Amino acid sequence: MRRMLLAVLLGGLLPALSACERGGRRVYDNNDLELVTAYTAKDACSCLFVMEQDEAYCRAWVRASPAVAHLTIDPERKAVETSALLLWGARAHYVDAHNGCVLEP
Amino acid sequence: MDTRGASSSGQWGPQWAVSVAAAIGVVPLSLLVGRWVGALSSNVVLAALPALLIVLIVPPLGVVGAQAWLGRSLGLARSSRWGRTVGLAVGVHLVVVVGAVWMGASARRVGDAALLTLVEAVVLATVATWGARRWALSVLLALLAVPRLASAACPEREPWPTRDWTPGTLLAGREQALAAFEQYAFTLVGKDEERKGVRTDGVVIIHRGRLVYERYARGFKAEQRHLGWSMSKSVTNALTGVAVAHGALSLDDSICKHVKASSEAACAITVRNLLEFGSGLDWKEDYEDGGLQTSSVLAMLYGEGRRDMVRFITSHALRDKPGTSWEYSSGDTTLLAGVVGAAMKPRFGEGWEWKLLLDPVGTRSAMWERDPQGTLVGSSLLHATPRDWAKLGFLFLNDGCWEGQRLLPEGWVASSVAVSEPLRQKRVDWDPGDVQGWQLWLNRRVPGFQDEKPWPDVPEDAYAMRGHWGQSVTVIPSRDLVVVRLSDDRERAFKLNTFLSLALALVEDAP
Repeated sequence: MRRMLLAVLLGGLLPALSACERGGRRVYDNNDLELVTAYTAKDACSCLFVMEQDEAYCRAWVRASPAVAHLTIDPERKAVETSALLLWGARAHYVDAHNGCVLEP
Repeated sequence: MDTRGASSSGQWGPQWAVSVAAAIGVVPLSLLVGRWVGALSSNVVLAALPALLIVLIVPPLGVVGAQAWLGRSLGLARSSRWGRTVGLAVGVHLVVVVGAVWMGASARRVGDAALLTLVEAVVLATVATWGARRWALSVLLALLAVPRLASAACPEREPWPTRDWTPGTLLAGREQALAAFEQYAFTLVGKDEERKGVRTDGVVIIHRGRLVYERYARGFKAEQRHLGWSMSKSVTNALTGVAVAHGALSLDDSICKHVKASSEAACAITVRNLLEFGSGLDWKEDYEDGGLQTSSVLAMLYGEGRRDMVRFITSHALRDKPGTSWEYSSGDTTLLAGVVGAAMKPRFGEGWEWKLLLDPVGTRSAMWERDPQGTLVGSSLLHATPRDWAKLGFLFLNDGCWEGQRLLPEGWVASSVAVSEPLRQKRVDWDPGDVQGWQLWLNRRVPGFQDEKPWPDVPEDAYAMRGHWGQSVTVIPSRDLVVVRLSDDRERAFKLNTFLSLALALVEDAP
């Protein structure tokens, strides 16, 4: 019984521990889809409402590979929403003439 | 010599009273006599010279003379310092008279004459009484030196670009150099979506304070803000200088004096450590071409750090004791921005960055993004038009002064362009050519690890703000030059050395 518990603990803990350290580096708690949707939302918002480029330019500017993030622009609220594979997404909106865009928490 | 001691240290009360009385008598008298003498001749020189001489000489001589007379009549030994006292009194009197003239005073107006007499009664009497004392001269000299030091430090120049840049012209006969420069900077290769080669969006060149060249490309216009990425770091340096100038923080403050750190260990980090990229925090400065989950920068901007960047940055372990190793780190800079903001906002309110730095230098286009806690993303997210980026370079070129006003502390720019101390000690994730001061890239040789100038064809005094995807604002003080380039280079085809050497060929005198 004790041996089984140990095996379960080790079997669960070791992969978990190794996930925290990749090549001796801290591994952050975000997957590629979270990063890509956040990046696309924030940088598209800044491109449109801070740099004041047109939509085609901005879509090209934030294109990441793989290009999985779907971009929805709300020009009225000066906001950009992104989604990827249904489950992941992010939203950024324009604040004011000093502070540009902010990624929503 | 103790008799002189008696005359110079004791009795100053009666001495001062006599001096005041003497001044009240002699100043109006000198004005009256001066006016009378000044009207004696129709020859302006003959009338003015003696009249002015009377007004300038009589009051100080009268006041000091009254003291000498008092000293004798009270039976005090004569001071051996009368000569010096007369000199001091004449000097101070001259300053007062020049001040009065400058303010438009007239001896014809009783009010003006009375005010002048009153001021002289205090100032001249005080100088005459204390002038005989040993320390008086040094105090006076120090007082005279203070304003001179403060104002002499700011370089004088015209025109200032606060509203906009004054146009200038390139040297004549540089058509070939210009063609070579433009061919390098503005030749596109491949299709746009392939993102290949050199992709310049805008170039602005400021020579001798004038805009001598600008060009925009790839659909980009002069009025459009461009993201500076890590060029923001150098402007965070300037914000730190502003905060130091206002006494809101000092370089050796622990960060914990101003912000709440995630760990006790991080409190060993000082403001100076952050400016020097020497926090010692275990950071990984990778961008989109590295491992996404191990990049501290991506995590800070878009991942788990984005909600509270100060908390995220200070949650990293200390790899080295602060100040003993160097690593280029957006974490250090954004933490610095957080610390500076926390020190300044309570005193100067929201938007102090604009009030005290960005608006005074006329970068009205500046937009600088924050995390949801309000921490300025000092490492990365300043946007401005190319002309406004040039103004920020121009601020450094002019030693942190703007229109005669000192915005950054004296010596700040010099410290900013000296090689970062921790860089000499230990380098983490360092690439050859990467020589930095305080949040600025330098073109300096450093014995031991950097034998060549990072940009071999560029003067050694050059330094630059640099950002991801090829952004740069290069300042070359010896050429009175600022070169701005905004771009979207997605591969490493662009070479700053080549670009700058071609730009120098446009403005340097003898090729």
